Amino acid sequence: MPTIDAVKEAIATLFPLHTGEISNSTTAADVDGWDSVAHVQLMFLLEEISGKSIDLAKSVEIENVGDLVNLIEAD
Amino acid sequence: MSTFVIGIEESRKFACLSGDFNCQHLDEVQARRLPFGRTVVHGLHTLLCALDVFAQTRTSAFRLRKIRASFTGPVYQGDVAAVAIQENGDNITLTVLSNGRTVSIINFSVQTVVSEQESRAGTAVYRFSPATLIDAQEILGYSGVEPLATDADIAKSLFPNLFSTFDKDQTSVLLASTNIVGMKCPGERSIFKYLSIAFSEEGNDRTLAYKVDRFEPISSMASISLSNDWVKGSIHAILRAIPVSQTSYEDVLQAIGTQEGRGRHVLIVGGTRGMGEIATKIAAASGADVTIGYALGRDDAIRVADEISAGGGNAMCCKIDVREEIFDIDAMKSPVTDMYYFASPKIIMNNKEYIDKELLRNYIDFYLFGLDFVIDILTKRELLAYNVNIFMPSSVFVDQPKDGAFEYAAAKSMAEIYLSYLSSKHGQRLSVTMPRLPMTRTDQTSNVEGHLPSAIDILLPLLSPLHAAM
Repeated sequence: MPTIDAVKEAIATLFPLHTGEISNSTTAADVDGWDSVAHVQLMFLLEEISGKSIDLAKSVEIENVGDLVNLIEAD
Repeated sequence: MSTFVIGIEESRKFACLSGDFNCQHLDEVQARRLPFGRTVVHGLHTLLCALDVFAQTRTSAFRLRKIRASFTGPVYQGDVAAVAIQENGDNITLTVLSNGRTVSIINFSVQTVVSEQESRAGTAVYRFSPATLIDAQEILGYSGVEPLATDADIAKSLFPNLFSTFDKDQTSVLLASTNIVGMKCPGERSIFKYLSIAFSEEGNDRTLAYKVDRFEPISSMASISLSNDWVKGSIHAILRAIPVSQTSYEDVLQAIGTQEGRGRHVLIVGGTRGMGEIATKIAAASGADVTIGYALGRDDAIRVADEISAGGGNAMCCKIDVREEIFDIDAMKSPVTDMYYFASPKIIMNNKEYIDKELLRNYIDFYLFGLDFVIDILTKRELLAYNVNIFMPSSVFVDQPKDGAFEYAAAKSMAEIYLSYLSSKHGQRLSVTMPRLPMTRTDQTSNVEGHLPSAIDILLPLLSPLHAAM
């Protein structure tokens, strides 16, 4: 599965009420409920879906979904 | 939208059904010191009630293919919860709201049961047992196996629609998940955040294995895998902060070093924990006789009184519940020279766009009407000394607005105005101190990240001069 699709699936799973389009430019502020606690949950879900390990310390520095995709693909 | 209300009796039944006797659901005294401040409904109880609402719309027996649930906020016992159902083909979403906010989102797909199969779940009615205490150092890799069981009678009484149409084995898996989180891992200090389970039809296992695969220490979030030969899933649960312990009486004695308060009688309303506990110790350490007012925390009050007595101080306890207007006034042995008012509900930030009237009323009940109730009773029973000091901690949020704190600050502000008028009426007989305090490290702020000053650091400079001036 392409990484961006894994991110979309994780966001859809954790924030099922979010109706907006998810793209590389989407930020946490665009998704209602994506706070610091939900961010950690999102990373856990992404690890399950993508099968890849995510550096949680680096993940808090991302600015948008594009950065997150790059972070996952870099590992 | 359908609604339901879960009270403490239903929560007790649910504990017997699931085995999850975690104190945050059943023990109102301990729950005061936990993040939600009051007993809350089990997340899985809310989920099963929402499924029970959904089951009313079904005419035939059904099973889940998969289910995902996020628990985004608490449902307090006795509060109304409303369920909105959205169906999109096989995909169903239940949104549960309580007190104007979304508290749970449950997403699942179902299949109609075409043939009954032999049940893999046993029958069990659980009895109380204490939950496991696990700390952050030992949680990663923690694992175990949970038997699958459901008691049909209790399940039918709690979820009548669901249990007539829903798969008993799958019920037992959902119940096992709350047992695992609330009792085993993270156990006593848990908050259930998220559940995801996929079910297959094949398989015979009668137990469910769990293991902590990931733990993130800053958020204290654990990812726990669930598995057997017909279940695969995961849980996210928070290992919540340990209730804050306040400075010991011995250390307060050393910090005070004088007996300027000798001959005073200080009543501390809400003196059993947090800021009130420290104020009690400061007053006692300064040589005053103290009366510790408690609402629910009788054991906490006795603990503080015993600690003071063991250190050579003089303390007694008195039940004062300002919400219920209960004051065991006959326990007061002498007129009060000083009254410290620390009675407070759990301080909750309002995340809505509008004023939360219920929250505002609750704060006003404590900070304004509760204060007036205590002063009124003491006055009528002639238990206020001729010259009286009143100390009421206010908040920096009165003049430094903080998002979500309007209701709290407004009620504190009203208490300030009330005391100002009282002081004006009684002149020099009544001395009022109402400092606007910053956030301090107590149970109220145990989940606030970053450094906060300790209660003793804040209160010692404020209360010591009161005693020195007596």
